Amino acid sequence: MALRMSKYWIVISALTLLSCEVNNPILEGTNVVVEGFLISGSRFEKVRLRRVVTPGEATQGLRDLNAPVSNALVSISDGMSTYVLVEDTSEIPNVRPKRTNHGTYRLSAQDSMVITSDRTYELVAVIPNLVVRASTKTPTPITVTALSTIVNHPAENVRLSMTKDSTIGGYLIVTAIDYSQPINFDYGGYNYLYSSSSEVVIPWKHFLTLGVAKIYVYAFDRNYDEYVRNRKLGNPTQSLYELEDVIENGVGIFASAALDSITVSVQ
Amino acid sequence: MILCLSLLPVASFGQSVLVHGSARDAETEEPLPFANVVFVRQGTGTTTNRLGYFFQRIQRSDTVHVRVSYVGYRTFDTLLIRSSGEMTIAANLRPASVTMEEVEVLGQSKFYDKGSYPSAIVFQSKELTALPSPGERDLLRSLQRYPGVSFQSEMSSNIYVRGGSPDQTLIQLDGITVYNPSHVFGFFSMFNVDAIKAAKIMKGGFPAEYGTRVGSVLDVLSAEGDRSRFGGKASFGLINGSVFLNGPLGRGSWMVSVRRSYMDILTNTLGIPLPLPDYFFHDLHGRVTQQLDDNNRLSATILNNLDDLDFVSEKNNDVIDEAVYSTWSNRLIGIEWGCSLSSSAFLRTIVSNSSYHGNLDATQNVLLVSFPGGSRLINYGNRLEDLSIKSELEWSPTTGHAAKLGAFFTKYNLAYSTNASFEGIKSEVLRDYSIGGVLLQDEVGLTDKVTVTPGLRITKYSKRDDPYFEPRIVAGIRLAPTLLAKIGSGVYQQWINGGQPAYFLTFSGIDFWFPVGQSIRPSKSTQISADLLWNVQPGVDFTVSAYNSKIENLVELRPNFEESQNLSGVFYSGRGRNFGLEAMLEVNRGVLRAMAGYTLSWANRWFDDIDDGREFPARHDKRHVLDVVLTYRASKTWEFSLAWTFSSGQAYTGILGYYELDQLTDSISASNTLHSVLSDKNAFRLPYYHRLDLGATKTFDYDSWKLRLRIDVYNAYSRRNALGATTGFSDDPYYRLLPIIPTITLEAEF
Repeated sequence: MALRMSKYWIVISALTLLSCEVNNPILEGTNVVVEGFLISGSRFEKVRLRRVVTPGEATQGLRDLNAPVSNALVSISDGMSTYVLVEDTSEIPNVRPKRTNHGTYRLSAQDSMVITSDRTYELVAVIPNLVVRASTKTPTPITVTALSTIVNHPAENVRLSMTKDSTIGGYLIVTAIDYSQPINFDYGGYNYLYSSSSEVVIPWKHFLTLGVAKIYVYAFDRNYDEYVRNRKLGNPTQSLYELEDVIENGVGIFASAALDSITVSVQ
Repeated sequence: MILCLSLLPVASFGQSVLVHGSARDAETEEPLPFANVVFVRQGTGTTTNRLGYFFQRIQRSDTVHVRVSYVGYRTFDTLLIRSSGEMTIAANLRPASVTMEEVEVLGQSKFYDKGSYPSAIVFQSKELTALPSPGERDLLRSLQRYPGVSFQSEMSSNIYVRGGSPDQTLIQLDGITVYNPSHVFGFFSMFNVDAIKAAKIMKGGFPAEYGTRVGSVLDVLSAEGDRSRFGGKASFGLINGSVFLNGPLGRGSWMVSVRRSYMDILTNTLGIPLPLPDYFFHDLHGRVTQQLDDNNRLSATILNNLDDLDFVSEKNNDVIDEAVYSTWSNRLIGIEWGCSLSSSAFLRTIVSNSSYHGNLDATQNVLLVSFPGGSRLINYGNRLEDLSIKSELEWSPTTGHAAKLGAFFTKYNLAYSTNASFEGIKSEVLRDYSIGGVLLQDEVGLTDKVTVTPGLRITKYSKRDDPYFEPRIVAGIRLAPTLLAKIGSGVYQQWINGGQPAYFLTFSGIDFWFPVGQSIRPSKSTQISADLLWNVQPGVDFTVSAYNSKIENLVELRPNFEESQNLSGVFYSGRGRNFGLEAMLEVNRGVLRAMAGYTLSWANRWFDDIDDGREFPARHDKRHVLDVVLTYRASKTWEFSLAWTFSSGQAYTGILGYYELDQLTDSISASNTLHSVLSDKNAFRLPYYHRLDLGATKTFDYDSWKLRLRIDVYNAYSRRNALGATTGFSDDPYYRLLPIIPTITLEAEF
């Protein structure tokens, strides 16, 4: 009887041990993060390359870790010319603890490139054993029209209408940070609003200060639209999310936008 | 095939005699559905139908020993003496009073319970009330103890049968489809066990009489009420109370059950501060039955339930920080006509209306004025309503044949509300649509040891041109007097799919139901299921089952489905395969009842849009599940119960790494956004799960009332099982489920 019982316990114990075995996967290889935005009519500024950090590293503080990808061979092409970018290794001023711009790639001092509408820009970054590519087509210029330009507390809202184009994925509406009386689009502290619709109503309650307010509208490309939409994806029990790949052999965002602005009066 | 088998001369039976009758509770005269009817000398048997009737042609004999048994009742034995070609039985079974001497009476084997269907488990309400359960006895939670029936978390009463998702199980109450049976976010179901007479779950390989789902069937029958006297039961627990009343009415009976939670009343009316959101639920379940004459009976079922949550985190001036408003409800109403056309033919017709309505409105940092495109986070609403008629004829034309012929028609209506307008798919979805068809099956006794039930469903779906053919076959082979093999196989189709947005996977409240359209084809499964049942000794049964199910056009809701412009954007569409082994030991020795079940299973999926079509496990995939349930009646007044479950951790999509995108351009100020690099779909596993629940029931009399005091301890050793993975920045990598929770419930029966 005892022998028979012990057999059962051996089986149960074996099953238990099998179930306990949890071999969860880990991050393998170098995962490059690309971050670059091109604004039509503006000069090209920079592209940032970092690497994905493991959860263990992240618990130490992702911001301080920074994890730049240095010494990469980075170039950007507008279809006619190709520019080789140079890593900025300077120290970031007025930041404590000290941080540097490692992983940030800019045009060399002798180069200059103004972003043009309706053009495809290709980014290539070469690091050991990996070539990362991304491209974006800059949207056509947009025009913003205010269907109502006077904001009356507490009655009238602002209505904006933007031109539409197949290259435009959505509109990012922001206030300029250099403006003396910025509007607040959200009580949560954000000062931008993204809409896939070409007509947007901004309620009067969002304008906290009387006077003149300036609204900037960025018409972003499909890459950015993917970025906005897909950040809703991810593990259902987690607030974090993963983006769809617009970067070949990497992650991140490489997007472009056309820009227009409008002034409204808040009364 | 059916025609060929039906034409088979069942020669071994020679001349036959028709035995027919009914099984009832001797005290309440309530019909006993799914009761065992055994013809002892012939070694054959059947079960009563859902209305308590049965008929079977058996080999001609001058005397027939019939044994009718039902859990919780004394076995009914009678010897019939033939005077004509028919024999009639009115089997009135007496409830077994609770005494220590009745070990043998209660110790009847459930060996014949399963009828001829494979992988079927029949529950009587008395069995459900014996299991330990925190706060509320519950049908679906009890089912989750059995091999092949799994759950996702304690926060969900959804059942995952043999790797299938909850919407792949057809749940019906008195033949009326139930779309979402959840209460309290899934903590328990809308089925009040007081108002339930019996339930039968068919885990796979089910016959042609059931359809419209690719997975399994849960067939629930309402209690009908006491036909002899008025009586009732009241129950009060920590979060809700219920009242069950029943009694005679004309030539029939009535039953009504009402439940309501009272946390909101304690908080809002009595002013008792509870750290709980403003929430309540209620349900009303009733049934009326009338025996029109000796051959006709009419019954009506109604069930109405509602869950309502208003949660507002904080309100400052005219701004709400966070708010969740949610309701979900079911309304079922059905009329059933049962007609005994002859002693060998029974016709049952049901006309029913079932509707489900779920709505969730979650907001954050919201102004108390409505504006489009604001920071409303989630707004989902779904209403599904059906109007159905089905008719089924049970007929035993000749010896060895028990045929079922049926016709069914259901008209559906759907409506949605979401953040997005759904304009793109309204034209594809929001039309009325319908499913109609016929079914036929014949249980053929090829020999006294072999029974084969071929069947066929032919269904026309209004959005598709061609009819769908679903052939089924079920076979039972008695290998020895105590050894029975069952096999079931068939093709199964599903035209309406339900699911939840990914955010809701931890509880079951709001569902979304979509019919398939032109861009998504109906789901189709091909199943095979085999059981071996061994009646080891009286009161001890051992069952081993194996199953395999392949599913085509399997659909799951995409995480951002509400933004889709067509149905193919609402669902991932792919294929799945579920297979496994189950073993179950049941001991029923009167005062001691025990069940031990083990499941070894796989639930794999392939979707073209996920991980480039690579195989991944379903979220509810669990390799090993072990359950042990014991109930012990120590005396006339004390009963103890224990339930322990152990399982492999569930699959989830884990985080491999993090990165941050912290600016757009130098001229745009945007918040930093943390992103994660996720693993392949469900490549991670939660830690193993185990939990012990204990229960004790003290029964005592007070005047003419019978009182029961139930003390349950949920999670007795307070293991904090994992619900899901956190983002990894806290000390604990997992969200934890509830610790030990003792509950107390008082029941009064009169």
